[in-house]
Amino acid sequence: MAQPGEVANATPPAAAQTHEEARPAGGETRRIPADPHRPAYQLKRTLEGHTRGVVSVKFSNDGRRLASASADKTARVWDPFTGDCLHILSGHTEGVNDVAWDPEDRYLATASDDKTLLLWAAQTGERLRKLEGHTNYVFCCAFNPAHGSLVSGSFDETVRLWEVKEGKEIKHLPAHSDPVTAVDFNRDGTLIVSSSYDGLARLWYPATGSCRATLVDAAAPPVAFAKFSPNGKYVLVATLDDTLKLWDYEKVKAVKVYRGHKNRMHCLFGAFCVTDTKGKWIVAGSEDHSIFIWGLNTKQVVQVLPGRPSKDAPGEGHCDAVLAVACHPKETMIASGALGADCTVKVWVDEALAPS
Amino acid sequence: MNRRLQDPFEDLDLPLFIEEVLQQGVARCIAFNHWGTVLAAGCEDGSLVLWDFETRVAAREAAPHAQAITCLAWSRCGRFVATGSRDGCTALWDVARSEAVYRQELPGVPVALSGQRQNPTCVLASFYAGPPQLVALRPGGAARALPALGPEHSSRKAGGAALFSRSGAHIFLASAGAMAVLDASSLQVLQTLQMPPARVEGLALSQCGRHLLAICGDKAIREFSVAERLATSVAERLATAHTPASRPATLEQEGKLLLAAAGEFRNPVEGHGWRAAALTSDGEHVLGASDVRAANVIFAWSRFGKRQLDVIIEGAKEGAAALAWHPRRNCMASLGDSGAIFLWARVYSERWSAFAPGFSELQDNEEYVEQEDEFDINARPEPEAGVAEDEDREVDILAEQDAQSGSDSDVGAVLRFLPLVVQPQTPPESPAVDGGAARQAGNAQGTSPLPGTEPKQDPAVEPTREERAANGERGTGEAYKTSYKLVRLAEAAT
Repeated sequence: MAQPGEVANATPPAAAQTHEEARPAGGETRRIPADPHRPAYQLKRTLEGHTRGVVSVKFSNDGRRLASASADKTARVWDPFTGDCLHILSGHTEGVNDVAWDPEDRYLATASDDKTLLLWAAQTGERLRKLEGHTNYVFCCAFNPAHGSLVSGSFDETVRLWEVKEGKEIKHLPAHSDPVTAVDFNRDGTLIVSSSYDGLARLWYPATGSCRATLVDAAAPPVAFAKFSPNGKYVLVATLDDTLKLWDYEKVKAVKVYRGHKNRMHCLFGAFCVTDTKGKWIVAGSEDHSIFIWGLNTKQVVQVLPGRPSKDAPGEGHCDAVLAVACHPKETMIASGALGADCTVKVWVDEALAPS
Repeated sequence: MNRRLQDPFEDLDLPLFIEEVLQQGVARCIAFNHWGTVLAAGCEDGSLVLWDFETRVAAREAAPHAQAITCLAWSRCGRFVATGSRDGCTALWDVARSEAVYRQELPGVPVALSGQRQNPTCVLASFYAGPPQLVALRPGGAARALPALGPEHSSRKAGGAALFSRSGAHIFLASAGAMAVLDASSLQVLQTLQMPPARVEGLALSQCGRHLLAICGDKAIREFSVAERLATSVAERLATAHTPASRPATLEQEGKLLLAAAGEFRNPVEGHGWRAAALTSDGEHVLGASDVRAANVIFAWSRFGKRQLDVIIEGAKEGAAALAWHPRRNCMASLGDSGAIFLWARVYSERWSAFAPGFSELQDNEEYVEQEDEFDINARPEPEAGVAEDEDREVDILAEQDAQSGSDSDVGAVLRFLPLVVQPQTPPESPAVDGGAARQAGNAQGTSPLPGTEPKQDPAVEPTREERAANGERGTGEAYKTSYKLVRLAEAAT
């Protein structure tokens, strides 16, 4: 069980501390930050509607829409530029764990605790397919950017590949020995990465179902998240020891380590931000209600979007652990979603000019 | 002579077993697109089925012809398929829009089509009788017959086979007794090679464009090596300026051959002929489908050394009418006489060392050598695993290194993958949200998918299970997940 009281009690000093750190980087006042090489994301709007924690947010590939998945059994499609809720995708009988856009942004897939995945038409919100086969909670899903296939990971410890048009399962990888927490395709759909509580992140060839490599440290803390870099050369891996690592999977070696946030309990997302002219960032939520931004190469925390200890506290940040973050494919925009005490999706925008 | 007999344990990287059989309609011809992502099949009833190779489903279906499709060719950009039919027409099919762009009458039933690299509307059609034609599939386009190779053949009206070179600037033309290289724009014969006076059933070009196969009626597959300049793409060709008129003279002056005979492949035992031939994507093997109708017998020869037979691929109970090697992967498709498409894959062996770092697979037992301090009481310092010492090295997460050979720059916008199209399912499951939600008693979600509607949430009727999941972090699974995590931590602590 989650222990909200404990988290809340632990939060104020941590939040206050990060707040202090963040102040010079932009905080409350809207101005160009002192250091022009740091991002200056500020809250643009708050998307309210979910009645339970928001656990996944994903921008569409064209960046015009934002999908969010929530424990309230629905997924929602938003316009990130106006804050309008365009569709409410309800049909799952349990909480929704993840949502994914198809490469053409025409369809959405949702993974749910009701052991199924649903496929939706993104334009109309119509439910098209039900993918059944997992024997436990379906926790994560991702579309193949090249073909009409979908990969999903589940608490039944398998990774499954689905053919979406007919709605059939095409491959079943007995990938891990513990619940699978994240799956992702590389940019041309030739590799899958999966991560699990068993402490491993594994790379798979979807064509044959064979394992290409296993990324693991000596300590092997549970892996909460794994994602390919935009060029598919590296894998960003989050572990439940407050660490994000960037792995070079060809050398099977971690090349960067990002620390500073709090991640002990939940499967937090990480994201690559490559749209900012000031630099490339790694973005991740934190269980102290804030959002951390690191420099990709410097590994330094360059901005913290501070959270609040509770809903009544002053400020504009999230007031619960931030699980979901996503970076806009074209704009300098970050979307984030937080857990039950907050239930909102927030859109952050960096409007400060890059140094000329 | 058969490598499999020599060393039964040697890992042959050729596909040896049937992985899947695709059957929809009665297929009569097959072709992969340039990337191998889509397999097009022309059917007996005139329909065209596009198979998504990754998921093995019929992604698109169309009916460009009323009669059987006899041959087809992809455009290099992947957006068009040219089809030839028994109705004596050839059509250009737009894959993205699922419609026929243009249709052209031909003087006969085409048996083979070949598409040009840059221009999808320009195809070569070969016939059973009569010279191949260069067809322009656009309004106002016309068909031009390729010249006959020598007067002695033209009178016999023997059919010929024609194929574009990889760059699209040249045409390979084969007919009984001769093989020629033509300039694609002027149709001028640049070079002629003598061949035995047997009918040429078909031509096949390797992925790299350097090797050409001719299936000959005298029960041989003849291989020709193609000069590099015919294989290079148009961008490189344009870099070296030339005029078409001056080229034949220049070539003769240079003494350079565009095409040279490299060898021939036969079956000396049974002595049967060949219906189809293909080269593997790496160009290392030549495959020939025998004309034995009762069984699918595919011979694979090594192109190197003595050009010996490597393996005979058997399996299907019917003859193979066509072969298509996957352009990127080590697998092939063969077309059975019944119209089923067989997908062949190689025997796959699991790489166990990939499952855990630091392990390597042993072929033989090895004696373990104990290190001197291995059982010392004072533990050795553990090397810091995982994090590299050169952690400050810059990483580039954007630069894409495309391992795939060949540039798409000169062929315009490409359609590499078929976009996903999902039609709403018909009953038994009533469409969409309403049906789904109605079946769930006590589900308090709003069922309207209308934009902007807020779900009407009534906490009173929510399942108790939801209540238990406290904050509902990442769905109700979180309740389990968190406790699970704590168990793991407890385990780790003890």
